[in-house]
Amino acid sequence: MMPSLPLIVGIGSPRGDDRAGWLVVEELKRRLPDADARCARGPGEMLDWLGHHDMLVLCDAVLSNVLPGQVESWSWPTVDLQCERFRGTHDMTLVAALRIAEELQLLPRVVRIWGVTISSEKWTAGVSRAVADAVPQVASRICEELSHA
Amino acid sequence: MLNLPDLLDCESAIDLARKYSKEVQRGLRLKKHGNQLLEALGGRAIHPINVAVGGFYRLPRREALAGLVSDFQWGLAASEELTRWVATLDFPEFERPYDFVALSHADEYAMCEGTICASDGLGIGAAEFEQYFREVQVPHSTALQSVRVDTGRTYLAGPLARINLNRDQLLPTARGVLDEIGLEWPCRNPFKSILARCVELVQGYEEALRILTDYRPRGEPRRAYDYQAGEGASATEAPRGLLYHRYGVDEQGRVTAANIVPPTSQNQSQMEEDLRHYLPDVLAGDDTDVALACERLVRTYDPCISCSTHFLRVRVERE
Repeated sequence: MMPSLPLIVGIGSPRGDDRAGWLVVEELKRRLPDADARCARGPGEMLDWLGHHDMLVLCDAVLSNVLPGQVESWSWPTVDLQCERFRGTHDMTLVAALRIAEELQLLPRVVRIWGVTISSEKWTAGVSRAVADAVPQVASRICEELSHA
Repeated sequence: MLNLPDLLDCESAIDLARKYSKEVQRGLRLKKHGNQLLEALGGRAIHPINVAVGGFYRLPRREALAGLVSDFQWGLAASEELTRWVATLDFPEFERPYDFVALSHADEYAMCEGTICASDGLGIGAAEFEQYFREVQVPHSTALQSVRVDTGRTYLAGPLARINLNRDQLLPTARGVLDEIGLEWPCRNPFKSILARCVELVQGYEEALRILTDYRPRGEPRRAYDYQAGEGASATEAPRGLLYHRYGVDEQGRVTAANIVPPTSQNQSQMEEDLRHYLPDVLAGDDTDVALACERLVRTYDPCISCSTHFLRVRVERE
């Protein structure tokens, strides 16, 4: 059973594998047509949408030295996120956006963050095979979590 | 919200949210209106799809725009309140003899079109831009920097330039707030650029409300066109300042030449000039304080989010 009102936010850009967060949201919209699932250009945008949800699910690409397409997840608050390299060049970091939301008492009780590792943020038309393969995996894991929430 | 921490002695936007929660909530709501408007005009807030060469693919729907009126009425009042509040803050005493450069228009506060004007009376069309302004390379940076061709000197583009050159054309509410906060003209203190931005926010809401209220879709959404070889240039005002584009196309519509001069490069050399003159005032502090003071000055030009945290590496060689 889904929590009464989860907000799902995929963060990304059109730059190659940086689309990962958007692709996860597109997949979740197919699987959960009633979910409040949105794409954002940067973490700061979620501040526009918070305040009315029981749970927040974030998905973003993480630039990593390990293999691309690996899936990682965290529950906020966590110090582990400080060293993760979530992408974005013209917006506040994910951690900063979450901390601002926290200060403004906008965060719901449950915040889950999903990262898909990418090895490059170069501008390419599509995503790599590894990231494309990871998208349905992340969507399945998010659906499963939501069903138990 | 990105420049304010500097004026309120807050370490960051997070610290600002902690100490000035009400003001940050207001700022976020104002920012949200921009995304809502983009969604109504562009089809979606992220990478809008409705804008086409010659106009729009589909005319914006009247109901979509009318639905924003109450939010924008709130926004107009909130932006006035914000401007009055920011005007009460303390600004560093620092002035520079700027050559202001901005678009000017006979009938309106120029943002989308107009003549490129400067403090010394220069007034040229966009097609003449490259005769009067030149991007140059400098030994210490990979970034191009702009100077006036005739004087070889730097100039300032952006909100402070626009307000200094065009304040008489502000809409009544924006002009009223500007008069109320009592800035002296010309205003040559870069730290007061935030006030110019605030007044332009009032102007933006006032103009948007007029459009949202009066808009009636009519005519074709875009102009038809045929490809033909040629070259064209245009200039608009981006938030950070004058933005110049020139393109050449061939008879098949393929781009054969392009030159974009963004406000960032136009202000780059002025920013460095400002830092050179500001440094003697702040050098007495330790290196961390010097870096922070310089960052604050840079943020008056470009308070983008990625620059809202510590970004300058400063090494002071003291004799």
